[in-house]
Amino acid sequence: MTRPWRSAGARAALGTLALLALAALVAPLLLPDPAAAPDPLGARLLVPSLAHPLGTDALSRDVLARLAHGTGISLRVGLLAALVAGALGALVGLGAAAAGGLADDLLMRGTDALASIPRAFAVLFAVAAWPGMPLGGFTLLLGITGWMAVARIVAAEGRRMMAGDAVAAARALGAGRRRIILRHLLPNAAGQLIVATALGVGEAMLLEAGLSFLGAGVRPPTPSLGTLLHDGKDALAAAPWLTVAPGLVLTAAVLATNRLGDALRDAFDPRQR
Amino acid sequence: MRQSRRLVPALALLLCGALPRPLAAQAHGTIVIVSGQYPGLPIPTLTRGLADNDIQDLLFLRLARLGPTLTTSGDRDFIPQLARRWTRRDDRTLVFELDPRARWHDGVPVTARDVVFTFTRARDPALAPAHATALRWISDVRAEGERTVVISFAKAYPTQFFDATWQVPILPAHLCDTIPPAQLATSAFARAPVGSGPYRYVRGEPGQYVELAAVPGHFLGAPALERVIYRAAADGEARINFLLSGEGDGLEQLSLKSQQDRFAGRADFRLVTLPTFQVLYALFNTRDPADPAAPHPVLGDVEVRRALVEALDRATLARALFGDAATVPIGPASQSLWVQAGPDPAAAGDTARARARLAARGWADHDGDGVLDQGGRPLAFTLIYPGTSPPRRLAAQLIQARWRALGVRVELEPLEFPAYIDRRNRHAFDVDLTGVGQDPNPAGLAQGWSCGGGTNVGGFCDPGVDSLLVRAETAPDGGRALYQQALRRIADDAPAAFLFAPANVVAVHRRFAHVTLRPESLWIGLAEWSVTPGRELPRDRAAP
Amino acid sequence: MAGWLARRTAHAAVTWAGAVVALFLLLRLLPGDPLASAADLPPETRLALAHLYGVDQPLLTQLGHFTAGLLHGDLGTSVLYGRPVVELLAAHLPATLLLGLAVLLTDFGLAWWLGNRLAARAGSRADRWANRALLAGHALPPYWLGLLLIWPLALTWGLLPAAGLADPLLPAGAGATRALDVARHLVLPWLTLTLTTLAVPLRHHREAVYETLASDWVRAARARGVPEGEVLARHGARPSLGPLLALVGAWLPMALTGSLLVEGVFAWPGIGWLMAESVGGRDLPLATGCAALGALAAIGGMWLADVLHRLLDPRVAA
Repeated sequence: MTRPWRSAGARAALGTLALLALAALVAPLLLPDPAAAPDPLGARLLVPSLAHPLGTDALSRDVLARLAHGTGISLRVGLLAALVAGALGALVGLGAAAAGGLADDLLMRGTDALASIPRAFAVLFAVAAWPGMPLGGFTLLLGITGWMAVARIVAAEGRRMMAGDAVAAARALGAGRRRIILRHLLPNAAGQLIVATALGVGEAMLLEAGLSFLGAGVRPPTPSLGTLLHDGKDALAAAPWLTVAPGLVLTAAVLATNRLGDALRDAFDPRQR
Repeated sequence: MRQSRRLVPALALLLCGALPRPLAAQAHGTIVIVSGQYPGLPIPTLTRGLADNDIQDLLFLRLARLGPTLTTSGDRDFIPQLARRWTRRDDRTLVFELDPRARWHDGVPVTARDVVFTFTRARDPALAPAHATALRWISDVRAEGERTVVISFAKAYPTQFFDATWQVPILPAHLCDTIPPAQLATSAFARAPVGSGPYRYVRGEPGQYVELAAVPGHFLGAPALERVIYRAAADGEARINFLLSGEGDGLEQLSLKSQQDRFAGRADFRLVTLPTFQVLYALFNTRDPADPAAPHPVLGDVEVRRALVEALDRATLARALFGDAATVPIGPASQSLWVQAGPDPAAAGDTARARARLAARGWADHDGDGVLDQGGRPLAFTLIYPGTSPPRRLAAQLIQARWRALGVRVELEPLEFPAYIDRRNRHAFDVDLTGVGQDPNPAGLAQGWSCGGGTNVGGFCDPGVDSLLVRAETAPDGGRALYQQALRRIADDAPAAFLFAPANVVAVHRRFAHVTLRPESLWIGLAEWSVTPGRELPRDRAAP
Repeated sequence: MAGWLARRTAHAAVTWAGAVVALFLLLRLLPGDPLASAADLPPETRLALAHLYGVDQPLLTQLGHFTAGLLHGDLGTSVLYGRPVVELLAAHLPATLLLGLAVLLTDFGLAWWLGNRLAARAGSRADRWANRALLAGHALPPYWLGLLLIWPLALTWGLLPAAGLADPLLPAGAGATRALDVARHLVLPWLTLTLTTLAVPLRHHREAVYETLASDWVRAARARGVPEGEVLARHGARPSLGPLLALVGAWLPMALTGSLLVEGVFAWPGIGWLMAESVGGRDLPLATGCAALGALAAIGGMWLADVLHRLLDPRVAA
């Protein structure tokens, strides 16, 4: 395995993510309360200035403060959702690979069927079924609807191992299914699993933003990159600072997680580059 | 009824109506109206929603239409349409004489048979439930010869004429009576309706637009505007973009300041403000959602509710959200409700007084968590609203910030509209950010604000208000003073924070002259519009 | 092959029927008032309306009516629109298919053409920059990109229409003019969706080809002296077609619904928006119809991928 941080792109991606995470952690200590709207009339849609480096929104709230908070929320939602998806995907994928035969076939057909449901609609449906869904539920939901791609990749890797000599030898020595999964399949599929999970972070962040843009995601007044885009969209021409900055941050964050995923893949599987 | 929400007992808006319109020999010009919905069923008795009504009112005529003062009682102010004149036989019978010049777009004369046919359809609860409810006091409609219609009522009441004329436009019996009633919506007629109005149906692209063309030499006066395009865009941004890119000419419901701001610096559009029957308020549930027999643990106390209202600088919030297009009412009174008592002098709010009120009731931050509490119970509740309503989404966040500054913890709960209605109907909420379209008749206030009223989901009950409302309804002078007294008393009981009475803001391209926007049906006067000579756009010249 | 096709088709049909029944029941379990659009009407009127739409009947009776209707090609009447569901779907499907197919053809055409070339030059400067550009496009929120494109191109410079599918001012049936007009309306939504979706099939295909090129099989071909162009086309790209075709199957449901937000921003009269509106408004007949169509696209997509795979991949067909 080569070291993932060797490429300049991967270093830039890591740097970007670290910067965004740091900003999201530190900003709340330095910046005004993102929900505070001291004077809804006087400070409405102010252009960027020293007092408000990214201006204010239609409700007179400081955009930089909301952006910092929102970035933190979006990153957290994306990361947790991807972890949930990764865990579920590993469970199904490795389980199917280890079981083999009909069970594998059925599990993978089920996975395919679930994967064919557009994710945004599955989430919209669940939001409809659970009025007043809290942020944690929403995050979990993003994870539950996103594990299928991981399962496929991991299952393919697992099957390759199952057909190999190592597993056959372990079997001959009387290893049980659980032991085979834990000792042979998981370590070997770990690389692919990490890559797929990393790539899922950006996808979940984009989905969060899309659903919040639709008014179905993160609930106001909690800022997220999606709610910031939603709140600023009608002032795009009049007050571009409302949407340009959150849009750029979202793009940068998703780009960085995807680059990181790529770099990790190269590291685990140097053949691909 | 959607249309009745736009009724205004004040003036209809005549913008350039001072000049008499020159008799245009040839209709010319095109208007592109942008709307949130596609008018898929602009057919009398079948319409749903604004778009259907807008197109129906251009394609079809009623017996008579509302006059400039929009008075719904009596018949003095109505303008003849299909009916040339009318008489009253007794206090339960109206006789209409049809205009012999009236023709359907296929050339067939309009007859009494059409009117009888339409009312038969409209009064059948299985076919048109909403219409049947509105027309429930009509007992019989019959033809006497080709041009005379006799409408009988089960009782004498002031708005008989309104019910007989405005509620339903007339359908062509010769085209519709062969269609089984239940299949009218799916018939060829519904896809290409034939009416008697100043515009006829040309074509429709479902989900996109409908095109109408002027009926030359229409018996009520030839339309000056040749072509009407009614274009649908579900997304609010896309609608405004249509106008800003030069592809649209008219768009309504721009009540938010951020929407009006998009037209700043655009000399080719003007924004017209019309009063509406809309009121927006934060309704407090005075009963415990878990146990309707008990008062609400926090909001059951009138002093707490008064403090919550006082903590809101409603005048500032109104200007921040709506610019100049909203007022702060006293009690549940829209701008158009004729008994409204003017803007609320207490709209500036008074945070100090709100604090004092809460302190007097024992609410203080004993545990230092930033939230007031009393006897171990924090002053906290949730606020529900439909998440798809932009004004309420913004208003909810502003209110939350205000109440939080007072030491009240409010959680916002945006819901999908059907889930929101469900929660409201089950009384399962603490505070509900409501927006309603009021009944033009102030007697309708009893529905929402009297003890046990039909839509009184907050459980508010003040016998004093009830008695005022009952007396007002039977007062000989219409009861304005008594209704205003009731509104003030409701405001003082604070069953809700009455936030805004918003107006309808309409963007209209400046090249149009004789622009008439009518509150009862916005574009119904379109036949009078014309394009100012010399200011035509390419789409005005391209004769179809 | 014929036997396999019949079995695969029957399997798809049964899956679809099961999915439709499941979706029918799931939609009716959603909380919320199916007649919310008539919330301000008096209770007796609402009862009459409920009867009119059949939402007052037991779930199984409703399912029976729905199944009987479905067999006659009747999906009931939309509560929100008052029109037959089938008619609404038919009216909105062409726009969705047009945009979806335009994006699909560009995505997969470019994936094939550019993917082959980039794989052959793996690690080169062009390859690295293309990869960066694709990743950046993939990271853009589509609706945001759409708004950013509309602003200068449609509002400031007026080069392209801001939204919609066709100019209503054009007379009906003006062949070439009308086609050109629709094409002009298509540009912005197509560009928005292509820029944001191209990365997945292209990177996928590039990797597949790259992997095949590294295989012993290709090395053997090269050793035999097969010209490099032919190596790429016959030995590299053709066997890598399988993964790409599998993606085409997954693309069909995406084309139907995945562009939901882009449809909104561009007032594109497609199925995605109709679907969101019907679920959000609890228009149960319309939502069921949309869901049945979505399931058809999803299951049909998998069926199509399997069939194409079998037809085109030499290793499976053999």
